[in-house]
Amino acid sequence: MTVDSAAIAPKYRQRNPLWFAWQRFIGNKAAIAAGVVLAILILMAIFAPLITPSPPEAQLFLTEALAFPSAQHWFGVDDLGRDFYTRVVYGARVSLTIGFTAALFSVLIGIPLGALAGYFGGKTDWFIMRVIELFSVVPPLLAAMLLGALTRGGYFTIVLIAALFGWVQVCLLVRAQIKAFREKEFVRAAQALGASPWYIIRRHLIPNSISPIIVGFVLAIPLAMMLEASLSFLGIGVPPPTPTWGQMINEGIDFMFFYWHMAVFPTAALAITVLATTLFGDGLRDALDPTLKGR
Amino acid sequence: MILFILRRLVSVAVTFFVVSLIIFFMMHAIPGGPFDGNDMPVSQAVRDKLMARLGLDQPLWVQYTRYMWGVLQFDFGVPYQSPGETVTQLLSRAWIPSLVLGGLGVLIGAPLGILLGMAAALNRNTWIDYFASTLATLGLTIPVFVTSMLLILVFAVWLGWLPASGWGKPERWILPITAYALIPLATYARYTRSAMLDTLNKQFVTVLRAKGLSESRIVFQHVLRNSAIPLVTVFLPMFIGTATGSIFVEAMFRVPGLGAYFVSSIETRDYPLEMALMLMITFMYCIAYLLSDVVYALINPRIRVGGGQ
Amino acid sequence: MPLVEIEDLKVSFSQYGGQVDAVRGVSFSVNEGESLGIVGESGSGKSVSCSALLRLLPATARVSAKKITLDGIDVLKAGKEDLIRLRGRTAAMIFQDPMTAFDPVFTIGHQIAETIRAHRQVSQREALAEAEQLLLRVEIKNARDILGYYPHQLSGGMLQRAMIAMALSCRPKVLIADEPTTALDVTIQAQILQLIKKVQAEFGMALIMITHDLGVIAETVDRVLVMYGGEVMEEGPVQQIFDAPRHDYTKALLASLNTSFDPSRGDDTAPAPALELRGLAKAYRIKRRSGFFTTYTDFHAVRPVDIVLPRNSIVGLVGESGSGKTTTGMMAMRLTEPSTGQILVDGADISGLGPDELKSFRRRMQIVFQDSYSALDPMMTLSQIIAEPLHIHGIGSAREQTEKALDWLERVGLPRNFGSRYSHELSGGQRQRVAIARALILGPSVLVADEPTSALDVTVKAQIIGLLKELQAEMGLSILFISHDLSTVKSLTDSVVVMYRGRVVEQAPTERIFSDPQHPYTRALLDAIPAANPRDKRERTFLAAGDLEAQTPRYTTIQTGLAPNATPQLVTIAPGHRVEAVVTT
Repeated sequence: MTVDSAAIAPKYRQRNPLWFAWQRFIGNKAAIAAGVVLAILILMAIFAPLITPSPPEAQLFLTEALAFPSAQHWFGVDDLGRDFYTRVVYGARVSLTIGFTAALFSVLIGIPLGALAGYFGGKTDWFIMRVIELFSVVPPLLAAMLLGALTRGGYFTIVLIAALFGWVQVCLLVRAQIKAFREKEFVRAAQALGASPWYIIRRHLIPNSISPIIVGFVLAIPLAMMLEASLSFLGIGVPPPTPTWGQMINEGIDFMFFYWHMAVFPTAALAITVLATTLFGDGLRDALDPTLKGR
Repeated sequence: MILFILRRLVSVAVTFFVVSLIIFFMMHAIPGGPFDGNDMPVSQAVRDKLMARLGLDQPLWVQYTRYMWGVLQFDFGVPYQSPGETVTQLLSRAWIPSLVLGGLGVLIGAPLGILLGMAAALNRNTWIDYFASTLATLGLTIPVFVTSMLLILVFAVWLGWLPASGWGKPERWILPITAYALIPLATYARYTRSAMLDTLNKQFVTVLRAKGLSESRIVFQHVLRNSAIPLVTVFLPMFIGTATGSIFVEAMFRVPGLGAYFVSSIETRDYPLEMALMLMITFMYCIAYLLSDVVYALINPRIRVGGGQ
Repeated sequence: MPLVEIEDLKVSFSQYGGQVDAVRGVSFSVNEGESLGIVGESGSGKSVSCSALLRLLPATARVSAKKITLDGIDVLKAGKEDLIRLRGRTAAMIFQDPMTAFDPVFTIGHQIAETIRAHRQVSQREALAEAEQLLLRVEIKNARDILGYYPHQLSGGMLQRAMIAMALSCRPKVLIADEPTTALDVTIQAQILQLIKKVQAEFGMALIMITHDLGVIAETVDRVLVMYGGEVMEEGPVQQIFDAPRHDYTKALLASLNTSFDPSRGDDTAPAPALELRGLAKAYRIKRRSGFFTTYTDFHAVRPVDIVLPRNSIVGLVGESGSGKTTTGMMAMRLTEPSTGQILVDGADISGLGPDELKSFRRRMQIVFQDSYSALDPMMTLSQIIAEPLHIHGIGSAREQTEKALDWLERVGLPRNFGSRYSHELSGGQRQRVAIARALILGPSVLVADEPTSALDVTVKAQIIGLLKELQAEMGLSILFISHDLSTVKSLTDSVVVMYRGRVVEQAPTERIFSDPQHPYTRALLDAIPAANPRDKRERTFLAAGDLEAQTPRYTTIQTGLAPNATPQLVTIAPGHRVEAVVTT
């Protein structure tokens, strides 16, 4: 019995599959840049009180209302005499916390439902898929608007609405992954060893579904942020005086011909944040699952 | 094939009614009626009378049946906010700007997106590819009202080339159509690119090359036809994007279209108008579903001809 | 001047971290009408060399050569026009998987006609008429209908015939066949090979046959090129290569073709066989749509089968894809629930047991799968994978489990320090070793091996078979060896069960079934085995499915002691030899 051909040493050693994902991620410059931007935004949101001159709702500069950007007020002053830079920074807090909590809720709803549908198939799967179909026939943003209008918005309501429409994506990703892996032969092998469904889900299927879960989580964030901004823009999101970008953009329309700073800064802030999160998420997806690339 | 379409029609009709039911009950389940607002205080007696006249005192299911019966005869009732006309009249006035802008946006955006996606797939990892990918990512991630805002800021406020808002003169259309077109453009650029790359990697493309077909024939006859199959399924999400986008585009550019009424009907709890709009959008969705299914079946022999052996 | 001339061909691909050299300095030539075989395992550069000949490599490939000419034209410098003439007209290619080689949205007729019209000025009607003639020449009977079929409506064998017709459409001077039979069933394989030989003679073409299968080489070619790691190991006339190989690699290849093992010892003292399947059957309900209504029909994947696996012996279960052999194996393991029938392990029926009672029986029976890629969890280290059975059954402490797993790693021929590696770092053969270790660590008495070697290269395959046999003898295992590869079955097993369309059509001791096959399907299978030496190559006659039914053996009631019956049934004709036959008066 020859052993030599079996014992050829591979080039690399003891590399967990996640290590390769990390290598692929490092190679994606756009995603790295987006990650850095996102990190800075998160830090800014966390330390907002330390890097801003005044509280966000304080009308300290009424005499300077609508002043253009200056050394003192980097983004100018808004119509109600509030430092606009402060408002925009605090806007990041609202946007990011809603994004993250809604994504968290999406994942919490999506994982168990996706795992159930994927592992058991049959009637369970059929039922969950019909529910998802209903969600996909009504455009999420319109339905969210309806819900937002009916409930008159509010911070927590927005999170719930975003999660209500965000879980579908996570559920589909997890379901597809579990479904694909349920048929894999290592799962059959574990079944042949007498492992219980619970053991298989816990030890094989969940670890192998980490990629879609992470990707689903990260990609749910910009969706929730967009939803919040859109609803706030229409005046049925987070109510004033809490500073949100959508609201600020809406107010900015009225002033944009004369006081451009009222429109430019919140628009840019929202665009940059959503773009950075999406690029970061896309990068993660490409790194974690090369076969999904470009979809 | 006719059976296939009939079967799809039945399932579309079922979906439509389920959705209408859900929307109807959801709208009525939330406390507060059209005469509860503070801006129009009315006495209890007047309120009861109004409610009775509008049929709002009946049990929900009666209201629903009565309403849907009307819908089948194109009678959507009278909008609370302008009782002088019917919902049908109001909508038939409002949909023209929406259709013109949205339709032109899709008609311009989709072909451009397909061309861009093709160019990107055929020139992989060149500047065309990077340009297309960047544009697609921007178009798909940044909310429409943000792009609209940027368009207005640049072309209307700073450069002063084009009017920022309104409806009527064709030059007022340019900016909203551009804002609209970005959605189908981005969607199609991204999906065409990935569908073409998928097809180009298939074994049969190598076989076609080995047969001695010219590269242009391979791309335009075989690759394009195969890539078109997944592209048909993208029509729906793109449609969602455009329909939803209309609300924001119309709000930004002050266009008196369906989107504007959607917002106002939600704010004033104008049930008939709101229902009519939601039903109309759902109906368009169902039609879009049906169409994409039928076209998908038509261009995909696997479904058209069925399994052989 | 030779038709094909390649001198010092080098191909490399740029990848993540640098370059991979796929072909390193290969030279060969092919004369008109000659047939050359290129043999080697996956990654040996055999396909890449021929793709380079038609410039079919992806843009990431870097090709350089002192000389590549095809029919006097320098391939590397060929312009657009020259390329079109070279491809299809001078050289035509047949590919491995006919299912993916046709464009799914066009009909077969369209695709053949299109090829004709790419090279000659003819009308669509003329091209289609010619396509029909071509289909007739590749022995497709209802050629006219086939023209209007889409690829998904045809079987793999039919598609490969159509592919050959398409390749012939422009009378090429050389036909390049890249593993043309690998994706097909055994009996179809032999038919396609014979067809290729036939049309080669008829059209007077040269042939380049690329394959990993020495049997294919022995059947079809005059001259052989043995490749390994992107280099040519040996070249020579086919008879010389088989009779007097000079290079060690060629010798290893040939040795793997002619392996033989001692028969298993068996165990007569045991009261019950290790595994017995009694009337085991599986039927699936199939949804059929007609208009608005759905009707259900039963599809019998496996009709009631009886199979006995004696202690300490190896039983081969053979048949083509769709014959129900894998389903039978899965049912025996209770991974697929049987519709009816009993599964007896050491005489105890386990077909009705619940998960908890079944668990203790699971220790006695294990399974090894075909696809070693998906058989190992990518997120687990090898020692975790091998120790998993101990973990599931709660045997020993974590440390003992790991220790035992490492012992088994050594036992299947891998170094202990592989324990902390992940499965993607291993080759196919190494992964299959790990899968075997996982299956055997609990010390089972029954092992179901479902095509454990069909995804592996020839030399590796021989090693894995050797390992299985060695462990079988050491542990006194009983193995149900499911395979479509009759040469392996012949060398490894003690008895053979032949399945055809969900039925057992013949079963007998291995020696007997190979020397005296009774059922026409068994004969067809045996006849399809490629020759192990060019000397043994022969003309074959093939039976259609209808002929198989017609030639079902007949026995009288006197011979069998059974009542006459028009429906075929299994009849015992010698000790241990049963065959499906019609009993007549």
